[in-house]
Amino acid sequence: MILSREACQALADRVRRMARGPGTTRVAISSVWLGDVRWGRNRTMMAGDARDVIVRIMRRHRAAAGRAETSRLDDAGLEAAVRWAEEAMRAKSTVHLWDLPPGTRTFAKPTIWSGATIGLTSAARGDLVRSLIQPAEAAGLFSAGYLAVGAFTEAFFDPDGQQGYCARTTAQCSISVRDPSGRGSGWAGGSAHDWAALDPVALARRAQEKCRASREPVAVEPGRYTVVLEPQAVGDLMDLVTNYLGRPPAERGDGPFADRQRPGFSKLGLKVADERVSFGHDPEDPELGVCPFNAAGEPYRAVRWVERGVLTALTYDRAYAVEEFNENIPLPNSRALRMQGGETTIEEMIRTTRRGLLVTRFSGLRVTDHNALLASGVTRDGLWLIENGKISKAVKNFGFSESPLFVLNSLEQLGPPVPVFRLDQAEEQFGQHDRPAFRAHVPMIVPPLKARDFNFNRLVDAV
Amino acid sequence: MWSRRNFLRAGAAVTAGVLLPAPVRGSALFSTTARRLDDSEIKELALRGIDAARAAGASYADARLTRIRRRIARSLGLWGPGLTGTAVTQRVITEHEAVAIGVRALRDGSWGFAASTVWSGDEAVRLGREAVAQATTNTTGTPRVVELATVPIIRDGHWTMPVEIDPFTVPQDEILDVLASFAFFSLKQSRVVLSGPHLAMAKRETAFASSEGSYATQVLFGTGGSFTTGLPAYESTPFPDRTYNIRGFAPLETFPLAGRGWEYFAKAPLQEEIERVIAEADEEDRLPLKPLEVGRYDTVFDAVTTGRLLDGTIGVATELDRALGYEANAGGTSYLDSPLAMLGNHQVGSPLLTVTADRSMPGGAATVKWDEEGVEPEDFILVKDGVLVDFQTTRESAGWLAEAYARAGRTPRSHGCAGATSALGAQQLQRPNLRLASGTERVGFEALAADVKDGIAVRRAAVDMDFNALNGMVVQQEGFRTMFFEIKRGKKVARLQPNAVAVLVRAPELWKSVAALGGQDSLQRAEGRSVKGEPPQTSYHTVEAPPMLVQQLAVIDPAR
Repeated sequence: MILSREACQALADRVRRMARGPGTTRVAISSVWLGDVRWGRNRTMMAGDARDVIVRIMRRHRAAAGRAETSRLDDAGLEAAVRWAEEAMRAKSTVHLWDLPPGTRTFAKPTIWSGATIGLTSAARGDLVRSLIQPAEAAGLFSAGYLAVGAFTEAFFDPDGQQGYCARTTAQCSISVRDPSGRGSGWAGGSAHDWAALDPVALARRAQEKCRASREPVAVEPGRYTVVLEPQAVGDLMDLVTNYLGRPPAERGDGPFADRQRPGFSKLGLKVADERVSFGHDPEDPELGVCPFNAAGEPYRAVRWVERGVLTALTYDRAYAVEEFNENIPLPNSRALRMQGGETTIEEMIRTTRRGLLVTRFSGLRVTDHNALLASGVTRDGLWLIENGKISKAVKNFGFSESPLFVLNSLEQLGPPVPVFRLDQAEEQFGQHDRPAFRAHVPMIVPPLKARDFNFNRLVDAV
Repeated sequence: MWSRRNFLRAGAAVTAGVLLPAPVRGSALFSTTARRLDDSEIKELALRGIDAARAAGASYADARLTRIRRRIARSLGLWGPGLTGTAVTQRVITEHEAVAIGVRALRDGSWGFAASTVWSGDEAVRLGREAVAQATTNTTGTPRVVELATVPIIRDGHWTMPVEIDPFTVPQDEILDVLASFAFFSLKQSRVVLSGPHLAMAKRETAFASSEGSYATQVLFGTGGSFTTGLPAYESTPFPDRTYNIRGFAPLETFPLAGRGWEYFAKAPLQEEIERVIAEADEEDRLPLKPLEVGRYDTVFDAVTTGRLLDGTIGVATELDRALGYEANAGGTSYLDSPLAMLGNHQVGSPLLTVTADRSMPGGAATVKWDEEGVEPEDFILVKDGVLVDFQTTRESAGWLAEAYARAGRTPRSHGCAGATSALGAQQLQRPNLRLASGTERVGFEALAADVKDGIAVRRAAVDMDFNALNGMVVQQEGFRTMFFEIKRGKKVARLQPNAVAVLVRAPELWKSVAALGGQDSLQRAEGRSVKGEPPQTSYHTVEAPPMLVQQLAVIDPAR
C-alpha cells in the first residue's frame, strides 16, 4: 500500500544506476494511501481508496543541478525522469554551493504511526458515517462531512550516503450540520495521526448542537468586540502566524517580524506579544509528531519561536546559515505548533465578560497586508453574543480585518490548550496540486482565549 | 489489528508487482515521446477496469487514465544592483510526469472510487473491484436515487487542443533563454529587481471509457506564468546589501493560465508590456496619496476585478452541488439556495447582465472537447438579462433540476462541468469558463471613470467572498499593485492608501446596481481558480469580463 524503507532503497538504487555522466544523484520518494468517505444532505456521495507515489530526482555536478519528478516506477518512466534531470543540469540550471547535503544528521523519533488509523476498514468507515448522519436526519437537519484515514511515507537518499525514512498515519473527520432552511449551521472537526484520538460521535453531536444553538441569528452592529475564541478559532489565526516566521525576509524588511526602526534587522529579542504567550514545536512531543525531516532532508529541531511574549527564533535555510553563521545547519519550520495556555475555562471567560462574542471558528482567511499581518475573513458555524456574563443570543456572522498579533497582544484570559483540526495547506507547488491525497494532518495544540477589541468591520448574511 | 510491519509488507508486495507490470512491460505505452493516449493498450486497461467493476455488481462504471507532463521554469530570488548579480543565472527548470488510473462505480445508488498510479491490467482489475467494494460499504444505508442524464455514446473519439507549439517539444535551453531575456530586459528598464518569475506548462492526456460504451481520448494544454518587474525607489536605502532598493512591484498582465502552447510566451509582447507597466506606474505614482474618506461611492472596476467579482459571486453560486448543500462541509454553500424555485424567474442583477458559461472558448483554461464524464459540453446561459436561467451541472446533478426544466419545456442534459485534477481524484462539478457580456457602447475603464462625478476607480484588486458567495469585499492584493483612485468630476485626482480601502459588496445589490459595462474592446481575461471537494481538488478556468461602473457602494477602511 505504501512503500517500505527497503522498497524505497531498492527504488533509489535503480534510479542511481540509470545516471549517465559525471555528478551525483539524490533521490526522494513519497508514497501515500488514503481511504475516505464523503457525504452531503444526509447521503453518502463518494467512498474512495487512492494510492499515489512520487519520485523526485536531483542530478548534480558541481554548481549545476537538474530536477525531475515522476509517478512512474517502471524502468522507462524512471529513466525518462533521470534524463530530464540531466538535460536540466546541462542547461543553465544552477544551484548555490551551499545547497550541499549538510553532512551527518540525527533525526528526532516522533510518535506518528497508529494501527487504529490504518485498521479502520472501508466497511467500518461506511457504518460509522451512517451513525453520524442518523441523529441529524432524525432531527430534520442536513449533515455533510468527510472522514479519511491515510498512511504516508517519506524517504530521501543523499549522494553522501545520508538517508532518512519515515512512515506516518493521518486521520481526519469533520462534520457540518445545517438547518435545511439555511437558518443555522454548526461544525466540528478533528485531525490527528491517530484515529483513536478522535471521537467522531462527539464531533457529530457538537456540530448538531452548534447548529441548533445558532438558529435565527439576529444582527448586531459591527465594531470592536471582546471575543472569546474557541480553540479552533485560535488555531485558524495561529496557522497564519506559522507562515511568517522567516528570518531572511524579516531582515529584508518584509513581514510582521521586520524591525521597522532598524532596517536590516528582525524583531528577534523584542517583545511581540503578551508575556503569557509562548509557542514552539518539539518534534519529539508525543502529541505533535511530524515527519522528522523536511523535503531537503533537513532535521526538524526543537524550537521556541516566542517565549513569554519575546520573539526568540525565526526559521532560516542553509543559504542563510552559511552566510550568517558559517555553518551548514538550517532551522526549518515544521509548522506544527504548541501554544501555552492558562487555567481559565471557556465558561469562566464567558462569565467574566460584560459584552462580547463567542466565536466557533473562522473561514476564508487571507492576509491582506503582510507587514502588519492584517488578515481578513469571516466567522462561521456559530457566533453568539455574550451579555453580562451569559450567552444571550445567536448573532449573524461578521467579517473582520484583524491581525493575529494584535490578538496576542490584547489577551485577557487563556484556557487549557487542546489539539485542533488542521490539514496541510494544499500547496500551489508545482506538480503537487493535481495530487489530492498528499495532504496530511499538521498538529497544532492551542488554548481557547479571551481578547479585547477584535475588529469586526462588516455584517455577513451567510449562514 | 494491522501492525505497521504487516502494513508495510503489504506495500512492499504491491511495489514488487509494480516493478514489472507484466501486461505492459516493454510496450511502447510508456514511451517518453509525445504520443497520443489512444493506444489500444490504454483502451484495454480502461475496459478491464470497467469489466471488473461490472462483474462485481456495478450498474454503471467509468475508467479514466491520465498522463500529465509539467514543466516549470523559474528564476529564484531577487536581484539588482546592490545585490549580487549571480541570481540572474539562478534559473531552475523542473520536469514532472504523473500517470494515474481511476475507476468510478455506481451500485444501488452509491458511488465508489479507486485510483492509483500503476498502469497494468491486474491493477485495473483491482481498481474496478475496489471501486465497487467502496460503493458497497454504503449501500446498506438509506438509498439515494442516482439518475445519470443521458448522453450520446462516443465511439473512439479523439481530440487535441489546437495550439501552435507543444511546449514539450521545446528544448529546455530555449525556455531558460526566454526567461533570461525577460529578466535582463526588465533589469535594464527598471534598474532594480525582479521577483521570482516563472513559466509553467502542462500537457494533460486523458482517456475516458464508460460502461455505456463510450471511449474518448484528448490532449489538453495549460500554460501560464507570473512575471513581476520592480519599480526603483526614489531614494536609496541605507542598507543596500540587506534591503531592496525599490518602492514596489508591478505585475505584468500577460500570462493568466490559458489553453495555449509555448507560443503564449514565445510570442508575448513582453518588452512592450514591461515598458508600459513601468511608465503607467510612474504616472500613477505621481498622484498624491490620500487617506480614504469612508462613505458611499460610485465605483469603477477594471476588467480583471470585474471578472473576479463575477467568478466569486455568480460563478460560485451557480454551482448546483453548492447551491443544494452538498459542498457545505468543504467550499461552502450558495446564496442562490433554492434552485428549483429560482430558475427562470429570480432576478440576480441588472437587465444589463448576461452571463454565459462554456468549455469551448479558444485558449480558455477550462476548455475541453469532452468533460470527465464523456459529455461534450455545450455553451449555456446562466443569467439572461439579469434573470437566473440555469446552473452548472454534471450527469448526476442535471437530473436534480428536472422539475424546473420541465416547467420551461426542457429536458435535463449535463452541461459538461464534470472535472478532476487527474485520474487520482473522483469527478466533481467544476466551474467552466465564464463570460460577462460586454455593454453596447464602446467604452473602457478610463471612459467609465470619466462619467463619475465623485467616486473611486479600482484596478487589479482581490475579491474576498464569504462561504455563501454573498457578502464580500474588494481589497488590495499584495504584490499586484492594486490601485484605488479617487475620482472627482471624471478625473483621477489621488491615490488612496491601498491597505486602507475595502469596497463592501453584497452579491444581489452589487449586480443590481451595475450602471454601465465596458464595450467589446475592453473585454479582458482573468484566471479563475476553484478549490472544492474533499479531498480538495483545484481547477482553473477563464473569466472574461469588461470593466464596469457600479452605483453607490460602501467603502470602508478595513483596519479601523
